[in-house]
Amino acid sequence: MTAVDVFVGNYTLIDFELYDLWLNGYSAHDAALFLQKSGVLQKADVSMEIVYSDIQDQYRLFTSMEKLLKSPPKLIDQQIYQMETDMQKRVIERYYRFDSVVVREILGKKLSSRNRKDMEDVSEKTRIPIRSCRRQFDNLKRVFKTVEDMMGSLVENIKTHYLLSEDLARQYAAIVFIANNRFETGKKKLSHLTFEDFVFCANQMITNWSYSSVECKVHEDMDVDLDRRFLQDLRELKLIAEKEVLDDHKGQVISHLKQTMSKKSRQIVEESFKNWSKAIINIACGLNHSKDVRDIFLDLVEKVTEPCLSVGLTAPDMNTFLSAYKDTIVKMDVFRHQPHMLVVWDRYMKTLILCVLQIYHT
Amino acid sequence: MPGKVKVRVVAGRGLPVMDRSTDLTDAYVEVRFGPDVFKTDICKKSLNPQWNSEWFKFEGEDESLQDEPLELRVLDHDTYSANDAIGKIYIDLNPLLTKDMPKVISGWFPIYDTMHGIRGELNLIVKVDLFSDVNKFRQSSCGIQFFSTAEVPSGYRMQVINGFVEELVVNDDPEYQWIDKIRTPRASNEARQRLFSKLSGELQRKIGVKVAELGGNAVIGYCQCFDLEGESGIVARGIGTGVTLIRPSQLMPPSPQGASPQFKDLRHAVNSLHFFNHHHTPPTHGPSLSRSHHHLTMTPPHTPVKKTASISPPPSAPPLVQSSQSAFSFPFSSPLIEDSATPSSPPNIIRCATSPVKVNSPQTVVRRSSESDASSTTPPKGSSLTESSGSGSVVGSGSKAATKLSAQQPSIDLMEYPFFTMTSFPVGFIVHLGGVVSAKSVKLLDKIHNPEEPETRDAWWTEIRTEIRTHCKAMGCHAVLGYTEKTTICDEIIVLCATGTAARVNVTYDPTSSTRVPPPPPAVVPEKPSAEKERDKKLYVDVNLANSAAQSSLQALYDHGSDDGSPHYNCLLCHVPYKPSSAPFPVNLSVCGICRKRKVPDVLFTTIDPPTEIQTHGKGAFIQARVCRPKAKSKGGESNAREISDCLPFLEYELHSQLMNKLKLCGMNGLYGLKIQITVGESLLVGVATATAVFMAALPMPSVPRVSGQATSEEENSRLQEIQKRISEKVLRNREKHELLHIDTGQISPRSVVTDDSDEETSELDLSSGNKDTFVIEVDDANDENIISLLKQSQLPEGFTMLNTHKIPGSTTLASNLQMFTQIWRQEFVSTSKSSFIDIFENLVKKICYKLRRMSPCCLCGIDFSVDLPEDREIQITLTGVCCSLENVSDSAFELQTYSKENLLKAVSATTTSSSGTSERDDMMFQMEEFSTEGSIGNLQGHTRVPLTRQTKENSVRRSLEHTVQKHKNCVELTPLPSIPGFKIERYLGNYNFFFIRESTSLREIGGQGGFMQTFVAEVMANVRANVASLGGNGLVSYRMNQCVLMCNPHKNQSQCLINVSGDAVVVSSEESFSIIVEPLRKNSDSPIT
Repeated sequence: MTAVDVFVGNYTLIDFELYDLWLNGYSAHDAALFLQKSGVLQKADVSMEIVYSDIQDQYRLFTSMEKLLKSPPKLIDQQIYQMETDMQKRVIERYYRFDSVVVREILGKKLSSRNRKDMEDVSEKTRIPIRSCRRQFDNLKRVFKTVEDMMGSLVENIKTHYLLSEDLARQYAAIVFIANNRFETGKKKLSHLTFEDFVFCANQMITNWSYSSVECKVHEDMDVDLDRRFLQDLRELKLIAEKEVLDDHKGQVISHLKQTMSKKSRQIVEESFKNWSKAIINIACGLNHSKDVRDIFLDLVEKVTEPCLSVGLTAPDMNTFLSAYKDTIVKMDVFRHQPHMLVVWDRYMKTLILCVLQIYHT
Repeated sequence: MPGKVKVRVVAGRGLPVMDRSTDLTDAYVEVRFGPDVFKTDICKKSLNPQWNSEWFKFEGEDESLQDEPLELRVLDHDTYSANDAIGKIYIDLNPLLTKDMPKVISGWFPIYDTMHGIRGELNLIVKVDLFSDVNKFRQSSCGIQFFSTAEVPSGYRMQVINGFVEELVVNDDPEYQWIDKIRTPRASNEARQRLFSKLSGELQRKIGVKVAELGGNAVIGYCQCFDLEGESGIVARGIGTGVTLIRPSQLMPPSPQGASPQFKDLRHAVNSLHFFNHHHTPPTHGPSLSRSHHHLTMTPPHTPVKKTASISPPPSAPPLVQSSQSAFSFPFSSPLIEDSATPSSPPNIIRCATSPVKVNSPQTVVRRSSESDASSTTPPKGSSLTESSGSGSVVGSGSKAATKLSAQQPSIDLMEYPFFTMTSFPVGFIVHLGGVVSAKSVKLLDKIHNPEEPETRDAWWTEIRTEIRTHCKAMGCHAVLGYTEKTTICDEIIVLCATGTAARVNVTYDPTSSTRVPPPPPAVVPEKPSAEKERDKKLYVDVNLANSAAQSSLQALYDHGSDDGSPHYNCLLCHVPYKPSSAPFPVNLSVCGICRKRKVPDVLFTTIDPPTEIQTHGKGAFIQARVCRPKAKSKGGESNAREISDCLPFLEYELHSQLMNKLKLCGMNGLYGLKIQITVGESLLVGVATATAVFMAALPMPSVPRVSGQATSEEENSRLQEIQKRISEKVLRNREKHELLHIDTGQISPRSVVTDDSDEETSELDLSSGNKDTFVIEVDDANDENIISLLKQSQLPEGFTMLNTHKIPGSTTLASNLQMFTQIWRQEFVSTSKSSFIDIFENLVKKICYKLRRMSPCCLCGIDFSVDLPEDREIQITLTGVCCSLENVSDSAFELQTYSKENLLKAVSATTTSSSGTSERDDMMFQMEEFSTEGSIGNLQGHTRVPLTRQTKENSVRRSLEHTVQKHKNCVELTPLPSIPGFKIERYLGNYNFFFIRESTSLREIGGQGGFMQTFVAEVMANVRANVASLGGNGLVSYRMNQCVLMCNPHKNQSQCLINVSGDAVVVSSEESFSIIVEPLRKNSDSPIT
């Protein structure tokens, strides 16, 4: 028996409700059941067979469009499916959208086909259908492979090659950045950090610490790498951790905080100032070694946020403290012989503060 | 004209990866035209090659220019192995062969491979330089324009209808040649596709020659079909209406191929020889092959009351059909004799067909059919179009122009076949509508003596056409409108069907002045049929004064609701063309509801689109009759043919009675766009009749069908009553849905003056058994399947309207195109009961509505069902149509009022279509009344415009605007309708007709049968769009899927499909801003994006 039941329109119209179901890995049959539950059948007064036939039409369309979606500019150029540009954009955007819980699991892993196998575990853990997990993994891998060796702005590259929105392109840029620098994100200690935390931090690092940042004069390399020169300069910050500077700095900070912070918090800061300052400076100096770069999130959590949280410092207090910590250095004349170090300090601290505050939660 | 074809291959994009090792392709292009081949350089290692080739130049005689497509083949170069084919592009050069303007084809064409589908695109520029005439003896017809559109193309004016043109070409089918056993499927498909393209070109060229012979310059309502006969070959058939068109903007009427008249006679000589070959088949030749031959006229119908006894007649004697057949009482062989027997001079017989009495002796009628009187027909041809007549008629200077025109216009009685393939006619063309005539004939393909020659098939069609002509005359008519020819083939059986609407027409009308025809003066109407005809003729010639016409159309718009009905409607069309006493078959006649003088039938069936002159109430409704009869499996040709031909009358009768029942249930009395499709399969015989039902104001109000039956028990009696109740409810519901409820009183009350008339009308509503007009449904058994299926016929979901006509009857106005769609359904079918067959169709309709649910409220127009029985126990239904958004009725009223009074004269003709439909709405009537009381235009404008515009804005315009914006990008709109709602056709770019073949040997991998078909149909549409865009167009109107043949072999993981589509490529622009939006397309093609 050969059964055919197809509907083809001059304009290719996407039923986004079904598209989402498809992207979420529902089979045609499951999608029909889903619609049945949601009451579509009763509302439209149609039989299951008709709904199922419509779903199959759309699913077939999605499947044949998937080839083009792997390289979105092809979808824009093609003539087989006459679509509005808006709809094309939406189809692409949704195809590349991901679940943050899934990507949180993939993050930091090498995007190799070996790890694709782990998607089954991810699917089990996140309760997102395996098909969808695989698609997300494949998308990440594809985007990564396309842009990893490209010159120029990471976000722009992703936007031109995948026609994604600014927002989504930024998220992909963050993922590519993290994957390229092989940041450690999977340790148990980091498990409380969300995907959004990482995206935020990575984007801050891209804007301020990579080769495309404003401060970087030599745009010789790409977005995906940190500015080597900056990392070398960071070593000079060890000056701040020297005994007399540290004491002076502490005094400055405490006096600075007199107006802005409660006495209790000030006392906490006073007690742990030395440890915290050392930790911050150590992280800065360590960034020169790629091993330490990878562990940046681990270090931030272990050495900075965890101790601060454990003594009960609130996020606003943390913000006040770090700002004071950063600003007082400028007032002191630690870098009178290396004026450029002030810039380096600023560049380091600004990003660090933002990152720390982002991950300052349990 | 010989010509030079210049081709430049610019670039490619999105090519497939042909070299696995590099993931790239070394592509080059072979350009072929006729025997010559050119090649581009090889563009190494690129999926987006840039060739920027030189101009490849080919020379060709115009015969080859018209017949042969330009062929481009994209290949991948391999150093060691054979070069791999990527795909092909065929380009029909016909659109370039006009003298209008230096046209160019330029754009991205999908590279199509019959095994893999679309694989990338190629950017090309093609130009044709034509030289001036050298030799007049060629069979060429450059410059004859073809239109699939079955009406006068928008922007043109028809000067002369030159007559019916047809042609038939035969060739072997490459799939059945011995070589097919050794060549690859791709080679075989390509050979076939090339052949289809060539046959189509040849057919068009030959038809073009015939049109040029007749002095015309265009073919409208062109319809081309391929009969895949199998072993005996492929037959390409084309029919159309030869006409002389002018564009009112052009001063010079375009002369066909620039030929000077003196050569025409020579060519005519050649052609008459041709005619000889075709038509001089002795009548005995046909009958020897013909297993059966019967005819049935469908309208006006015999009242089933009288035929109750014969609902289940013994198969040997079908008395029902016999009765209708005997009504005609013509042996079918007589017309053939008649044609060759009496070559008397034409002028003598012009009036001969007027009285039905004379019709009974067809021997007296002579037509321009045979070679014998060819010479007598040359005079009308000889007087070819002159500049003066063209411009003269533009001015519309009264009767002088009209007489001049009629001099060139061949009289209807001189036409061999007075058939018109158009479905929509200029106002004033149709005088009376008779009813549907059809003829069918069962033939055996394996009995053709020499299958390579077209003679036998020509003889078959001649036979059918002659029969149609005879039926037409029996109805007191002399022309057949909306004429179509169809075939169905199953193994060696072929059934030929021809259908049309018998009518009396006025070919010598003047298109400019006869925007309307006044109703006959009420006082001077003698009841003599012979005089009536005379008078009608006179009327049309006389009413040429543009002034009076415009005035009365003004009246039509503003005096509506006054007791004379709307004057620009013409109830004459509905009046019976025959004398009541000599009706060709039993028919219920009653007095016309508008003029109250003449006789009209109780129902009117037609195959044409709604003419503007016929006044209709409410909305149109889609109705469909479906019949499926089992048939014994073939026991050899002849007995099979006999069985089919015995079965056909019953099938047709059943179709007819279903149509009637459904029509009555809708509370309507007229059918437009009736399309009857008969399909023969291995074990089934299927008939589907589709039409749009309307309520014609002139025809009597249909009564609620009454159930009658012999109730033997009390229980049965109550069941009957139950059915009666349900029927009455259904009728009421239908009337409500189609806005017919208020008509009941509306039709009668304003004419209360004519007391006796209205008495009669009211009595119709009475369901007393004595009333002869009551429609009775016979119920033998309360569980009668017919009744059940009738009542089961489901309603369309809320917000949907469905029509199969191309013009929209009633109070429906379209705002914009939303979606053209194709639904292909195929499934195993074992006929268990009648309802299971009907369910298929009901389900399909439901399915379509569900798919388009987000577009509601909308109207599904141009719905076309095509049924195939491809294999034993399988049914395939192809459903095409377009979904249009609806405009608020008030829009058209608003439009009218924005015109200033001076412009109104011009506007009248443009808006008659919409106003004829819309003015019947009660809110509209209210507006009109208000207007007439207010008295002045200015007052009205200030008074009613505000609420109208608000309504408009809120409901429909926003939606249509959204859509318009979208279309301003480089989208190509497809539609089966002759125009795109909300858009104006700027230019016609050429007729598109193409055959695609697709095969797959990896069916499972591409998503099975469904995936295969879905992709293929999408690819076909993509190809169509690319071709339209390359001509600078942005729309294809009168789109039709003529054929969709799917052959599956799932066990071998293989499938093959053939699709034939056609239409007219156009440039359209939004009605609001008259800018031409070809810009983005051009840009696209000139600078290939890489």
